[in-house]
Amino acid sequence: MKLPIALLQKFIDLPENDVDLLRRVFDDLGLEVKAVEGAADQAVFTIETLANRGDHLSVAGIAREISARYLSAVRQPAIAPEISDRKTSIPVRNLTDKCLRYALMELTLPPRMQLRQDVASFLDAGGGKHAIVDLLNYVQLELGQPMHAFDKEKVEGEVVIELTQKEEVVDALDGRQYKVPPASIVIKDKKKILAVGGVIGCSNSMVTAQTERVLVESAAFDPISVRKTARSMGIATEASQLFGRGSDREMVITALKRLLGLCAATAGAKDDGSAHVLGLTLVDGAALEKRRLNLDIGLIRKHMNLPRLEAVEVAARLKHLGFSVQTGEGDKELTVTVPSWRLWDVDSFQDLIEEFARSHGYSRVKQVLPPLDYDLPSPSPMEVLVDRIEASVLGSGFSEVITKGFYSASDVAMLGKLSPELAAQHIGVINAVESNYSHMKITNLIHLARLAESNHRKGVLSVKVYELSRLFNAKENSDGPYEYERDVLTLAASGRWNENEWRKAESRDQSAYLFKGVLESVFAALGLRLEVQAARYPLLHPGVQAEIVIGKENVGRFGLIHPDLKEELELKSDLFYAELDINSLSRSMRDGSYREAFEYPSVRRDLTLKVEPERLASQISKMIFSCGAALLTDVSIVDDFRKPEENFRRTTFRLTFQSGERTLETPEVDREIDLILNELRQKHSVEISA
Amino acid sequence: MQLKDLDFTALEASLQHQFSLVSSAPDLEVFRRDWLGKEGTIKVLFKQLRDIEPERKAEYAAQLNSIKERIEGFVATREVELRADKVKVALSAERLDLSLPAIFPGLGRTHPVTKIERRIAEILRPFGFENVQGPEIEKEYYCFDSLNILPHHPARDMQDTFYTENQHVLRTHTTSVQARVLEESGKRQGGRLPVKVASFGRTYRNETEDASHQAMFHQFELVWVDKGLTLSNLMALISHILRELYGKKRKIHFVPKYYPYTEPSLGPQIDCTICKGGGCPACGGAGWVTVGGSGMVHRKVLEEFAYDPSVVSGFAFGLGTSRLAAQTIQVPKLKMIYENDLRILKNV
Repeated sequence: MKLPIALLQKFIDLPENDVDLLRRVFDDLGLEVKAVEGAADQAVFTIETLANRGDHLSVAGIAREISARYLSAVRQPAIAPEISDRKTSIPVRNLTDKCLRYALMELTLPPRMQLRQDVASFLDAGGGKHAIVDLLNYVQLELGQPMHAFDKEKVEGEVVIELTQKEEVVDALDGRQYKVPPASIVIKDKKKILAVGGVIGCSNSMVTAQTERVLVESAAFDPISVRKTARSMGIATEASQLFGRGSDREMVITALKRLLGLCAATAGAKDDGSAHVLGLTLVDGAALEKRRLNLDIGLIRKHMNLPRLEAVEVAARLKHLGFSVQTGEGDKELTVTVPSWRLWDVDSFQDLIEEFARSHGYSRVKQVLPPLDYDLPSPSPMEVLVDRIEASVLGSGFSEVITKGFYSASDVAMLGKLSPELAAQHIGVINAVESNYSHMKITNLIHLARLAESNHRKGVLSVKVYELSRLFNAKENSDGPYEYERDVLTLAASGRWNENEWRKAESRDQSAYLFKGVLESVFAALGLRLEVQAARYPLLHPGVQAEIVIGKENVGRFGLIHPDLKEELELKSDLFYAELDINSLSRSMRDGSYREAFEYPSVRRDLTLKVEPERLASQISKMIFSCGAALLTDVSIVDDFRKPEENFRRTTFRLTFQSGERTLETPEVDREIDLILNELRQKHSVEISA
Repeated sequence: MQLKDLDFTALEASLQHQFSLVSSAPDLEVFRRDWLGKEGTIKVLFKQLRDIEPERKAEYAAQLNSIKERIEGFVATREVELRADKVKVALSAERLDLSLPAIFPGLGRTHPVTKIERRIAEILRPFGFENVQGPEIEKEYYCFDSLNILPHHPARDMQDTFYTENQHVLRTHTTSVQARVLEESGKRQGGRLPVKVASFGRTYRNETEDASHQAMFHQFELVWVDKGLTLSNLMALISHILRELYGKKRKIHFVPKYYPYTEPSLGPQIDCTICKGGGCPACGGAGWVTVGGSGMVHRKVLEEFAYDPSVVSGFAFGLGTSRLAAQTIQVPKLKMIYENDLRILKNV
């Protein structure tokens, strides 16, 4: 809303002459000044009002706020004492309770009607429409009552206020065509829609320079109905914003009287006899009940920590805001009647506390901290988990990133090429303004890959990032706390592992195992051992990926980005990606426990075995452990290679034997080795390498 | 060389000269062999002692022993010196230029938003706030209806909402977590008290993105419900939080706001860091910057979750952690917080 300060001064003596200081007063009252044009008396404030305060969209409403703060008087503008005893020549029928009050005033206009300069100066661009229309806008600015003028000659038959039964199309005053949804308030004559109630008038009945007689509409409409209609039409007029917040039913006639007062002064209507009221028709819709509320003064004292606050001050401020106040017994309680313009937003004692607090000033509240709590809550499982793993990921050079939760339709289509099943699990967003946000992400791989590529283009050699993210899936999640989403720890590495070019770049194999090392470090921090098994995730390279398991539970996956996806995303570098389910990790993490360290020396033996290419070395390790060698305490892998001409790998396992009771003799270790080799050969068809 | 003819003074002078000629380990070995070896000069001279008259034998023997000790001393010392020289040469050949780059995987950094969230959690901790999380795909009930944001209410204009195919919304604020917590607590007989939770997380607004507006951003919100909580308590707690976050000397101010789920509703403001309250383009000339939203929990919200507003009161406070993070690391635009430029993130 644009507020000329000079106009405000007609209503109230301002507490500050300096524009900057006055602006502070406005801000302090919840009238946020977004811009100031001009200086001193010529200043115009652009004000953003609170979304529930229709009464703030007028000079009178703002004057009332200021008066309550400074307990000063508001000057009311001059209005005509009466309108007319006669009815309009056209009858009016209200067929909907969504129209709370409707007044139609018939008026003849003087020829060459001119707007008074002092009025014009307060309007945007000095007015410039038809003088009667400019006057209506001026009254709205003063009093917050939108009004509309129809050219009487263009209205046929009676005026009816009713709800649309179906979608209608109207040509509006702004030159655009709108679809009006069903159940909207419309003002019609016997043939056409003249206006969409509370929103905008139609061009078919607009006032022109040739108009000699007008029908001026002043009304009160149901705010929700107006909002629904305006929203559906995609329009926000000053009228719809005001009616949508709730207008003042009692202002319907007052505004017409103010208009008459201005018309008389403007046109000298009584002098030439050509501009005068021909009639007034008033129809009422549903009446609004008077609202009385009780206000406990003790409650205000307590909330604002003002023990000496007197009821008389509370009453005075509320009266300046337009409330009627009766003092109860012993000044402990007030009975407050809500004014007609505040029935939309004041309905409880809390509202009255706010009314008083705002007018009194929040800066005058004496602040007291609530007590500290010595029964502190435990950190959440997520906090514990993050605390434990963070040193591992940060220490490995991974930085935290935050990506958005969306995909575009083309992203989904791209994933669909690799896995139609995966693509079908996306949750769509039906009304995204940004076209890139039409779906919720099902994996973080695309986001992290794009992020890596973007950083490489900026000259970042080593991209190592992690994100504690949410992934979304149309399949309901039976395992976690949320229906369609789950928390994941995702990691990605691309480019060099180290942050400079001094040494030769790591090979793909080295990068893969460096990446796995970070995951092992994360698991170790959680008191877990990283175990993997074969995987077939469609977005990762089929030969360079693994599922991560804890016991029998699949808790995540990692691997190299699928070459097709890499190509689709136009990545220049390989990218390793891991995704770990946080809920599963939280459930499984444990603290370390004491494990006896034997004093007696251990014996190490290396076994080189023939391993099929598709078989995981970790499976062989498990097999070795399951052979029943009682003295075997550890199996580690120390070498793995494949000759090009052979169809198997040669993998060397280092077996550690140890006893807590004695130093082991060579023959007993030999027996254990024989046992293991026999078991491997007979049960698993694994042979020792020559 | 004949002992009986030997001029010990001349021998001494000759030794000095020969000492000076030993400049390497092979030289020293030759010298040692020539003088101290089995066939060496000293052995030969000692053998000739038998040819010396008995009365002078002791004198000759003493002089020979003195010469021998001198030579042995020289050999031992020179040996050490030459070994040290060798080590020195070897070490100089093995020199590493430690100014060359390290083999270093780098040190990762937490995101500025995470840092801010942790700082707030740390400030709240002495008051006993529990951190809670909630879904981002949310039911309209928790996001709007239960919070007194009814259909077609003006407030729903403020929050342009993403609607999903499965008939839900992307939460427009972390207040939805507050609603879930109050619902859960209110189910207990008479309502569990106190309810004291903080929630940090992603929120969504369906708007066109630009430098200052993002469709996804981060918020924090706290709610405290108990008997006897007042507006004064709320304002004091917010002032405490803001001074901890922005600096002890910052001016704090509250202006009226409207949120459907609080009444009264307040907007906490701090003095503009740039103009110090004088008014400048950065703060729109106001001198103050609104940093969050707050208020006493609306009675309709309390009633919705089975709390009696005549007995119980509560307050809520929230702020945009993304914006705060952007201010803290002094990036000029909010969107930079989510661009994940590692050149920036690794330095803040």
